[in-house]
Amino acid sequence: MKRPRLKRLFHWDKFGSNMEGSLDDEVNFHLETRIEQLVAEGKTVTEAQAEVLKRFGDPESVVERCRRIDQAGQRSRVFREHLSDIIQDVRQTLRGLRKGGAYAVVAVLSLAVGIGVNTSMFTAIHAVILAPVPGVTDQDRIVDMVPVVMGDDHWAWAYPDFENVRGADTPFQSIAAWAERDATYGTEEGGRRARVSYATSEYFDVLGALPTLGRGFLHSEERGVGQHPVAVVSHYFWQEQLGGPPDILGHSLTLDGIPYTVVGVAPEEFIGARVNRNAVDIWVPLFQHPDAGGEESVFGDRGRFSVQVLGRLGPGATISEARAAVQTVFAGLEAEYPETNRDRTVKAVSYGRFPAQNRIYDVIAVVGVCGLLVVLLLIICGNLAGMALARSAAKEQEIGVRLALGSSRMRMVRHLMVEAVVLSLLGGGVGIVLSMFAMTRVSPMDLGISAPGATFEPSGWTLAMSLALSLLASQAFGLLPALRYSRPEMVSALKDDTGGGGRRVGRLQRYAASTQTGVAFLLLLTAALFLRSLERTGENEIGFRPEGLTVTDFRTGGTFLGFLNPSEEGYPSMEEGGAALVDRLVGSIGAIPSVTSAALSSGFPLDRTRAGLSVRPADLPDLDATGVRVEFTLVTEGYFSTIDTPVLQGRAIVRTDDNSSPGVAVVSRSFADRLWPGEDALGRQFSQAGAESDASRSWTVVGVVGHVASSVVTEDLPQVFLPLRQSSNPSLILLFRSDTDPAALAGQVRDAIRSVDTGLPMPRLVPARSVVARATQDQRTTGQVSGILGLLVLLLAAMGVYGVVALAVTTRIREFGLRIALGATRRVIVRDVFAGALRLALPGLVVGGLLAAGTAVAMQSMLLGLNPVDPVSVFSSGVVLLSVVFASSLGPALRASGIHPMEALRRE
Amino acid sequence: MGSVRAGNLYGTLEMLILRGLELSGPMNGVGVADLIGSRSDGLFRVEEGSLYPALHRLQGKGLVDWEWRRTEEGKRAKFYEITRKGRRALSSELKSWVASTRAMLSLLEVPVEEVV
Repeated sequence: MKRPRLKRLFHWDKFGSNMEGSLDDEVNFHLETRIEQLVAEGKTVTEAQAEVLKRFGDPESVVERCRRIDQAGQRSRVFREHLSDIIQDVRQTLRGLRKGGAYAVVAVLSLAVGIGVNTSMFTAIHAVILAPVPGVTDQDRIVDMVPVVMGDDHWAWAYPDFENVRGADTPFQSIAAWAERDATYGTEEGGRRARVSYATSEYFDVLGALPTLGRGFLHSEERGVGQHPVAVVSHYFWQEQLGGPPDILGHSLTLDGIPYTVVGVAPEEFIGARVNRNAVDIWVPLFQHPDAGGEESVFGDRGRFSVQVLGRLGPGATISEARAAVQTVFAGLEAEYPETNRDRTVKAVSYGRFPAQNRIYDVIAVVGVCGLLVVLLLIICGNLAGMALARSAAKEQEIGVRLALGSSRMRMVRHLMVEAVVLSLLGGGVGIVLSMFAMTRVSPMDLGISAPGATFEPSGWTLAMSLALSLLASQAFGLLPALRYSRPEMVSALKDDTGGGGRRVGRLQRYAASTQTGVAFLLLLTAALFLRSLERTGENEIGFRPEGLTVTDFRTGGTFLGFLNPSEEGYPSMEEGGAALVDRLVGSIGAIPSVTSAALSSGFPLDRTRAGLSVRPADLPDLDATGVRVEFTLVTEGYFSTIDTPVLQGRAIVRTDDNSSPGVAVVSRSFADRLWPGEDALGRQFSQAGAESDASRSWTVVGVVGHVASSVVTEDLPQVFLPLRQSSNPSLILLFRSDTDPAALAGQVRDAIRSVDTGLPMPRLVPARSVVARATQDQRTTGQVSGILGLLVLLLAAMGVYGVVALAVTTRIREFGLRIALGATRRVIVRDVFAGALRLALPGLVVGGLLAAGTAVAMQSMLLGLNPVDPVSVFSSGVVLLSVVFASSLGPALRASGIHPMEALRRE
Repeated sequence: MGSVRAGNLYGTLEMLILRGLELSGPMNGVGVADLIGSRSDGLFRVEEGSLYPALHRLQGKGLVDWEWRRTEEGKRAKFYEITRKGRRALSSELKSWVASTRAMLSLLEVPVEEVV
């Protein structure tokens, strides 16, 4: 029983030979046979018919049942065949990948990058924008009310305006106001910073974040300045700072020196109404605010903006009703108080993580970044399409033959599409895994969002978006080559006697490849410049010795060096005896045995504070009001020996340079050279430019030091050091030099500071090395980011160049064959292909190089004195770029040179 | 494997058809009907028409192949033949059927020999 499979496949049974019969024929044969048998046994035809039908059942229904079974079988067979074809395609793709087929590997890797980057973006968008505000319930019922003053979004409301809105008839169920600031709370070890939110009584209701322990604020606790010292603490603060005592309610807590009673603990997740760098630690009633009282109360004046406002909509109310109601109130206020409330209104928007002020700019920024990343993915897809085209062009004749032999065109298109889908899912999978791996290592804190315990968690939403993107990508790069197979001219490849030379590589593809090389060059060159400039910070004279030097940072958790501000801590100014604090601090730190030298100052080289001053020689008339721009630092005795900068001439600042003695200064060499070129600076006087030459604004130079770095690494300003004790109200950092590991000294330093005053905040010890490192952070970051991007784009550029060159070689195979037949050597052919690649890349390289030079010139100050057209950087990145261009055209070049003339000619 | 396929007439009929085709070679529907009728000594009587849906099901599963041929009398008839896949299916089906029957018999405490 041999029949060609095809017959069955296409169900040609009924159109085939006369032998084939229908279902009816099959049943009729049975009935006829039986009838004949019975007739042969002697029955009449009518009897036989009746008997047979009785034994057979209803022929109609049998035929119908069989037909249905056949149809179902047909469908499932077609499905099975398709499925097995697809499985075969998938296997073939995977085999290509296992064997390291260049196309498959490049496709998976580059898609992994493209989709990984996009997944990270989705994760970030989700975590930062879309995820609900932690600890807040029924967020969609909350309305954010942004004040608009003179047409611009404003950060805060005037408190009386809030009271008017609260008292008016609005669709809000409740409406709350709050203000936030940093306060100092007292511990046994000294003061610490805490983020405090001063809130009205409805605050927790509006946010749906009612304390899980204890209560919120009573309405009666709202009025009366400083009358209700009750506090709600965050779960985090309770657990981490207070040690999590179970009987927390009723505990006492000292805030800015005032004892508070803890009456509640906020829900665990809740970090305040705004998700930003500052998670709230403590909530207290609004009128506990230090500026709430007196004539100058920040809450008493319509001219002072002090609070933020949220409202919770009542049942069935809509945001537009709320907006209308609030705007009506503001229109009334404008009429009533034209002095203060002119052009003042409020826009009501939905509440969320995204800050409501100027939200449109943030949205534009996010959309812009998204757009860029999607363009990146599109470029990757374009490259892959280019590679796929090159590949299919190489097989064009083979495909033409197969099509002519009757292989289904659909089958080919499907093969390519299946390949594209498999590759993009693999690439997408790798990308998603990479991205999640990377994102769990980054915390929202790094993006300026501080929420205890918050992370970039992968979410279903992220995953769905990334998978959708992968599939979309597969369509983007699979469809173009696949469509070519369905074009009729494909078959003409068979009779094409020009060897396929008629078609030229698409112009768009060439431009794209060239642009990518250019962008890669631009980024790599920028990276090289910045990394080279970093090397120079080591060479540059910073003017002090960071080894063994420790800086104490009085602010908790800040990025910059923080200061102790004695007047804010309740100490008198220098004139009123504040110098005693300075004496005691320097004395007690200096008394630690392993500390060799200690000093207080208002700043430190490379601390990025930019404390500037314009000066002029005192004995010259003040002709030029702008003067010489210098940087000043207030220092105590011992400063120069602590940072280890030698005094070249005269003396350093000493203990007796205080309010009772005349103003003196130590200046840097460059300062002396600017003000008194070629003359001796010692004993000369200078004053602040633009000011009258009174005694408090002029100083006598008593010493000259060498070069000391400025506060910002990209600048080099003349430096002047003034006695700290001659300033009225300095901010302080503490410096000390020791010969042991500063980390081991932390305890002793803390004890020393506590022995001065237990109310002082506890500083963080920062090695001077890390201050220097932090000063060059921008250079390092720019270098690294553009380096990573550069390598990424380099990979893309390599793919782009490969796609173009490979396609060009394929279309010129006959030409190469002829030339080899006519005696051209392999070397000539390889050179020819390389020349083509160079012609392709060169315009991009030139433009990219020019752009890089322009960028470098514009950012010259960041390059720390490096020549913007640094030959080493230009040369090295140029070499990298050209090698990549040649490497990616090496394969096609070798193929072109390996063409056997006879084969090439036989391709007709 | 040990489940008792009680009352599964379709399954049983298909098994009977396959076994018949295996033993007797290619047959048309009438031949299959005759074979099953004679083998079961008339015990196993079905409407002959219900044979055809069973045959078409087997055909759909690829357990039988078919061809239109002329009979000895010169008439066109559709002949069925068991395929290799059909033989494999039959043998595993038989095994499980025997196993479950044995299990039934031992549960009923009837010695196999006695029944046979």
